[in-house]
Amino acid sequence: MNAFLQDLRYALRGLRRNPAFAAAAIATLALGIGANAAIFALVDRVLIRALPVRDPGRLVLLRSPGPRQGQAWSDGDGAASFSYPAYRELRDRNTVLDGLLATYPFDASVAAGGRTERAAGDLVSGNYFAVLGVGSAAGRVLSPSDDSAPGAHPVAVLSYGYWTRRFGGSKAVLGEAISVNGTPLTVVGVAAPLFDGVQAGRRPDVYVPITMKAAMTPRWDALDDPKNYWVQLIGRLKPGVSPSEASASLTAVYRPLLGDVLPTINNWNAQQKREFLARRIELRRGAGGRAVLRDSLGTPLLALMGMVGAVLLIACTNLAGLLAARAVSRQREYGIRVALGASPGRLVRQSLVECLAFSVLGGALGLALSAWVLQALLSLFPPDADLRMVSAAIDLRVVAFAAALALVAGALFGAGPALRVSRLDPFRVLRGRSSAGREALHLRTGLVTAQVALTLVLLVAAGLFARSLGNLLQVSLGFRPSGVVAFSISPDLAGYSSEDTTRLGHRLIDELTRLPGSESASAAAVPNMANSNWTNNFYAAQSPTDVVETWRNFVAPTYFATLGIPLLAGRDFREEDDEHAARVAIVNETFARRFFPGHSPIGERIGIGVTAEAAAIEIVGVVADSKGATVGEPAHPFAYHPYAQAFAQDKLGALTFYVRSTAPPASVLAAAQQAVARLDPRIPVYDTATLASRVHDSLLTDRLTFLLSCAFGALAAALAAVGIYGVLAFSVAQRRRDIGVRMALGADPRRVRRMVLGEVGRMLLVGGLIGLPVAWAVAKAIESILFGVHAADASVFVAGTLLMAGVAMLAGYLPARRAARIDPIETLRSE
Amino acid sequence: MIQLSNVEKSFATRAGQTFVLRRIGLTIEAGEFVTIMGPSGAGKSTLLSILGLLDHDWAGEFRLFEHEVHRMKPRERSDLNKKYVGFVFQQYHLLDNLTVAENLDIPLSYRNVKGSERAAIVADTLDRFQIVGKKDLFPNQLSGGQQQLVGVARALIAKPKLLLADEPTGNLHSDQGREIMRLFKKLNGEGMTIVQVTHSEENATYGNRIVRLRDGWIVND
Repeated sequence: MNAFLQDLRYALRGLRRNPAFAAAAIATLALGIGANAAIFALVDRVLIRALPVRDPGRLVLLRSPGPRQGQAWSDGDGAASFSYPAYRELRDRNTVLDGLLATYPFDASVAAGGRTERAAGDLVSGNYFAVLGVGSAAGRVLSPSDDSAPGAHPVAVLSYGYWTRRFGGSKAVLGEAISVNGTPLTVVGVAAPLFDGVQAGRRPDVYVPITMKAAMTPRWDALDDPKNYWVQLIGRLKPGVSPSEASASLTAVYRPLLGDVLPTINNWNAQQKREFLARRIELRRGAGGRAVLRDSLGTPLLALMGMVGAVLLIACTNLAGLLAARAVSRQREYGIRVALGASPGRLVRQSLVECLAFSVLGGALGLALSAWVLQALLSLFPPDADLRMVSAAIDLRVVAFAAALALVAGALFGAGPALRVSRLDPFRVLRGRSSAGREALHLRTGLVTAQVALTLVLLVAAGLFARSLGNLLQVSLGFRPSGVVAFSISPDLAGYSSEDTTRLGHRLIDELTRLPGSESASAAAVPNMANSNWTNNFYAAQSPTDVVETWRNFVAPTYFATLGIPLLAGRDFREEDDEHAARVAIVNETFARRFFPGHSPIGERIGIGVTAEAAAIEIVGVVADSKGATVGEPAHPFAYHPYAQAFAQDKLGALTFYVRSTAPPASVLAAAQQAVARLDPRIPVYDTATLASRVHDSLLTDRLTFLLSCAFGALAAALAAVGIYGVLAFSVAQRRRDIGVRMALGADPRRVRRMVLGEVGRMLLVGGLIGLPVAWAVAKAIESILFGVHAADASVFVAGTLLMAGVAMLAGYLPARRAARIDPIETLRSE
Repeated sequence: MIQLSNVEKSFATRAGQTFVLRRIGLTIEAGEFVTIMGPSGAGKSTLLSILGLLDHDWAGEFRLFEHEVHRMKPRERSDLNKKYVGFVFQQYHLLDNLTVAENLDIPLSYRNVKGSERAAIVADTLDRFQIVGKKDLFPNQLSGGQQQLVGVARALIAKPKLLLADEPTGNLHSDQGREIMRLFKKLNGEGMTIVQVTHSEENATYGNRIVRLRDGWIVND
């Protein structure tokens, strides 16, 4: 220990005596470690971290892919939604799980203490907390007796965060009633402090028994509907039961339930029925909870982690190169130490301790930097974005990661010098006959060639992300977002029926249309550019078995004019298209082409597969294709209905209003909020934004990936340039005499320059031969998150290679020029 | 104390095997002060590095005290070096980043001497060589003579039985050189075995035996 401290003290002194070198090395490391720690903080929260529950490794997520008919709700993986009757059967009849919980997220309007606010709610089965093994911080958690009968147990458990935030952590709230979506619920307890629900990126404020569904989601009960797929299931495997055993056993329970549902399914052919009955239960690892964010951000985050890891690797190779050069100048010192009795192991240790000093300092600075980088990254997202809700922070796990990274980095860049030290021949060194300079040059050339290869990979990846974003930005949206503001309200949570909601919508649209600067106003059930959609199976009257999954929306008159979606044929909806009038629809071009190729669909009749009713909907108009949920989505068949015809199973809940106006968005939104308050002060306005900003936000992940990949690519290129410059400068210094002799023998400066730049060419060639295949493999891996770009996009590979070559030649030019200016007479005289 | 028999050192070149030392037979008794002389390239420093157990790549037989060095592994030879040998170099070879006291401490730390014990030994040595006032200075703050004095002190601090010196006064002016040689003489008088390599006939007079080398052969002993 004493000797270690002595080595450390000398190492720190060495850093102080070479401040420029130390600063460059520590800054390089800090940048690499800081960026890695910041991205890791996100990766950890989204992809790695287990739920803070009992034995999370035994949790599994259930899914059942395959065809189905009915209504489905999902927030990502549609196959993960089950009907509540199916859940009950699976829960009660399985023999492989210690428990199976059900959950469904809902928007809550919580009124307490004279104040109403929106909150996040989770409808949960009574065994939810027991299956997870989560206790209470105060009062009690829900128990199986709380979900024994529909509507029978109006109770709620608060999350710890909501309890402290909203109720100041006061136990007085226990036993009190709070109003959730208009229904009084008695607060029976507060969940354990660290527990934030079962889905990264979503923090429920209030947990309500799932049998209170009808009260929490007005006009959508579905507790008894076996064709309504909405609950998300998480099971806990019994000890000793493998996931494959559990999957087989659960499938055996599930298939008879499908057999019971089959007779109620309409318009399916034999093949579809066979596929339906063959559906099985699949299990995914559930330690990290529901996989919504994991599925949507996993690949981009891993791609960024890979890129930032590559940057660190490049930084390490740079440091290894610098240390190799430094080790040459310290050969004499090491030689003396051997002569004084230092064993090879002792010298290696000293060399590693010096690297450790760099690592610790670089790691500490990097960690400080990572907090800032993470903050900057997250600030790019809107406050309610999932990624901001994961509470990514520089915590102990990130510190441990950064420390491990610093140690690994230290070992990586310290290994070369340490190995060389262990092979030192003190006798040759002390007599100035070491070949270490030549060896170091070979090592550095190898390292820089590896840098070139890695940088090429990063530049190609950045190029692919740039192409992808470029393609997305050039996508025709099919509507004109500029000049449109949007906001949402949920009248259903204030007790409105569909008809009441439509009447409120008419009045609000009237008011919005009369606002100063307003050109038109309208409303829709499904918000635009919000990554949500509503789908049903549609068919045309003339071929009822040709069923196609079709996107739907219920919209008010002038919706198309307000959003700027061109009406290509027929007419727009009118106020008279209400529940008393004949049912009508307007379809998009893709729908028209799919169902009525070659002729106009106006006047044709269509039906919805799930209802078994006749094809009673008449097409009255055709609009151009437009994007609905995201910019990158392909064209879907789309059917629009008048929102006044939302009845039976198609009930209106929330409405999103759009105002096309020449007035500033802020003033329009302020006026709109006043208008809503005048009509009904109980209804809060939320999701206020311009449509343009929604389009912008919908591309946020793509923009972030582009931005970071370009930043990492640029950083890698800069580091590679420094590496190339360092190697060539070192090479020229080592070969000064050789170059002097060549010039004395007649080599002109141009030839010398060419000779030096030829070394760059060789590094580029070898680096390219290694880097391009790796880049292609990386491109294949990220192809699924690219838009309109193939992995083998030649233009990106050529551009990346040219950029790398340009950077390399630029970096090599200065040493080449210096070599060309060597004075042979002076050089040879000094020899 | 030292017995070399048929020691040879060579390396391969394109032209064949090139010999640096040929059939060296040499016996040095404890308490001798031997001077190795010869023209450049004669093999003097190579012989010294073999005696100092720094060069492992040679053939022949070498006995140091009761140890058969030629049968030993490099690691064992290094241990022997630590136990018996102190080195003084022409270029002083002090460690630039370390103070005088720390330079003296280094050989002790490589021999795993305890910290408290090391501090006492270093203090004694500083006192013995009258360089207490310089203990916190770095090598570049010392004159050449002072640096070599520290070099000698460092070579002796681990109490070696054999002191090897490679042109110890080569970089010093004559007064400083004489001072160092007088110190060597005194140490030899106290029983220290010394082998020095030098070009200086004057320095050779401080010893009691001269071995002359030419082209790797011992031509005079």
